[in-house]
Amino acid sequence: MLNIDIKLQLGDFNLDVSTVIPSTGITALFGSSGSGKSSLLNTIAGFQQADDSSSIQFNDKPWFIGKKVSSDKKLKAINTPIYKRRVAYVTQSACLFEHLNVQKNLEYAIKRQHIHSTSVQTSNQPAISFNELCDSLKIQTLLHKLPLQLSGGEQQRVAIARALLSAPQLVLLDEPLSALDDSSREDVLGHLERLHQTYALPFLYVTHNLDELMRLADRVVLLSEGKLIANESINNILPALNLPLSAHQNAGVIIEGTVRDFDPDYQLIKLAIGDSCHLWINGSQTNAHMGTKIRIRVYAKDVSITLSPAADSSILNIIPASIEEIAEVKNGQAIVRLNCDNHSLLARVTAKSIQQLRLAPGVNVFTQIKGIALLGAA
Amino acid sequence: MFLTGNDLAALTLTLKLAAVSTVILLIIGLPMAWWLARTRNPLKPIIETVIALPLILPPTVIGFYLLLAFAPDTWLASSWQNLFGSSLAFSFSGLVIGSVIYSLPFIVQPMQSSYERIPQLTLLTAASLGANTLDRFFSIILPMTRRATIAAASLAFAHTMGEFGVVLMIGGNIPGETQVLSIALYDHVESLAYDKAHAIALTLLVFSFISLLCIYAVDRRHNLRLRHAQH
Repeated sequence: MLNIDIKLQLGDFNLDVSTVIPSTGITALFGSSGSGKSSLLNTIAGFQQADDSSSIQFNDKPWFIGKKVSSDKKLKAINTPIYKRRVAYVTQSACLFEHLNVQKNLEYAIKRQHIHSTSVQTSNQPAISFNELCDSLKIQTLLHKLPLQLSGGEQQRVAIARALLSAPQLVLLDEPLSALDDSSREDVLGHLERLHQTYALPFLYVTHNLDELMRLADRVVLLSEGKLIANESINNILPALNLPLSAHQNAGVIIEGTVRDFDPDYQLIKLAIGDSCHLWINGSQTNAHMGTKIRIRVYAKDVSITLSPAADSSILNIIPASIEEIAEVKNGQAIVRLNCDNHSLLARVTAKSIQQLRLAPGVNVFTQIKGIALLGAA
Repeated sequence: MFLTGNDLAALTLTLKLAAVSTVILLIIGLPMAWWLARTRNPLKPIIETVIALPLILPPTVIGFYLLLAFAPDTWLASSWQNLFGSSLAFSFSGLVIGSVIYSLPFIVQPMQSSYERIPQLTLLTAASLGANTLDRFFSIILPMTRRATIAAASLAFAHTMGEFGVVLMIGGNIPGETQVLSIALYDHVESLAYDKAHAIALTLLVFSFISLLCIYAVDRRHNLRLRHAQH
């Protein structure tokens, strides 16, 4: 558990965030640029010193206790040096050591992984195997190359491997995909998804990309202008109409369902959502073992609302739902939160449709879902 | 036209002086350059100025002030006398001190600017991987600036080899003790022994040419390799 109360003044900018971050899963720090995400990450890593009235604690171990806090609470002021915090930090630029080849870059982390860590902490976590990690990040063939000879995506994969090989207690990622082109981004993102499922390490992931957030995050810390707006699980934060994520152009929800059937003729997976509701999703049989739980993403822009179920539509998924809440977005657009068998869905419709169909909280309707993205195993 | 007797002794002494001075210069110059590259201390410009002074001052000015400092009644000379039982003026140790001051900018200035080019994030990343300050110096900073360090050390060595004014003021002209090549050359010219003078002059010329050539050749090879790696 990471317990932070961080205050930092940088010129006109004021960062003031006090919250608790769980010690498993990926927590995304989300906000527009200038919201203080990276500064927050830097103070946690120790790259930047927080103000005197701040404190940072990781698993009951103080990393930083500012002078003001220490005199108020009669504690000793503490500023644990970076190399003793055991955090792995991956930034936009991979920051590989240019004078060392890939293998030596990785060994740099391995050689130092236990120098400053106490045996108690490392023993309850399985060691990360060098070969396994190189396999899963596909860097076996790169080991003898110099960093300058690698593409951006390859560099970033090596940087992630190096970070994990340092046996960190916490992994910090500062927009690790933002400097990559679309195909490398997709590639590294896929690797991150799998790593996160393999290793039970806490990840703190800074991003301003809603798609990355939906694919990776278990929890979201929402920042705006240096202030904390929300710290919620992904399933709570995405459909919350009072929070800015639902007003985003790519707003949507993540739903977890259970595979019930597979239709090989049409390559369709039948996914049960709740007790009575199911969805058909285009997918291959490899994803469709009976009873497995998988995650899907439904964009609000792909969901429309009708009062009666259309029998002559090309849309496969037409399911009953009830309206919970409606919020005006802007430019004649509105966003509607619907409840389908205790799962939230968002639908983006025009303000005119709201009026014409007399949509209001409590009204029972049918949702037509045009597109569903399969995110993988839950 | 070969070096003989006293002149060979002068050559040995010169090489010894240059070697000892270069080692001391690296030991004090590298940390100094590192500190200057990172510090926000308001005194930084003053320290930079003091280090750069030997570049523009006539060497005799430095020599003159060192001579004053080496006079037996100063705290420097008397504490040296108490510690080592010898005087500083007209001694090899005195020459080393003079050479170090005289060649300091040749180490500190290039190293400071190559340290300034190391991205802060690279060092922070190394720290996050578990490297403490000393570890980072030897595992990241030194290897990343290896070429610059070799070049600076060679330049300092060559520069010390050719020093004249400072030695003239503080070293005197004691064969085997303080008589370096440039002084011996001056002596020969004074006594119109042009052949002997020429031998020394040529030795220094060839030596300087070769050391500079080495520095530039290493630089070129590295640039070629770097370009090759990027393609």
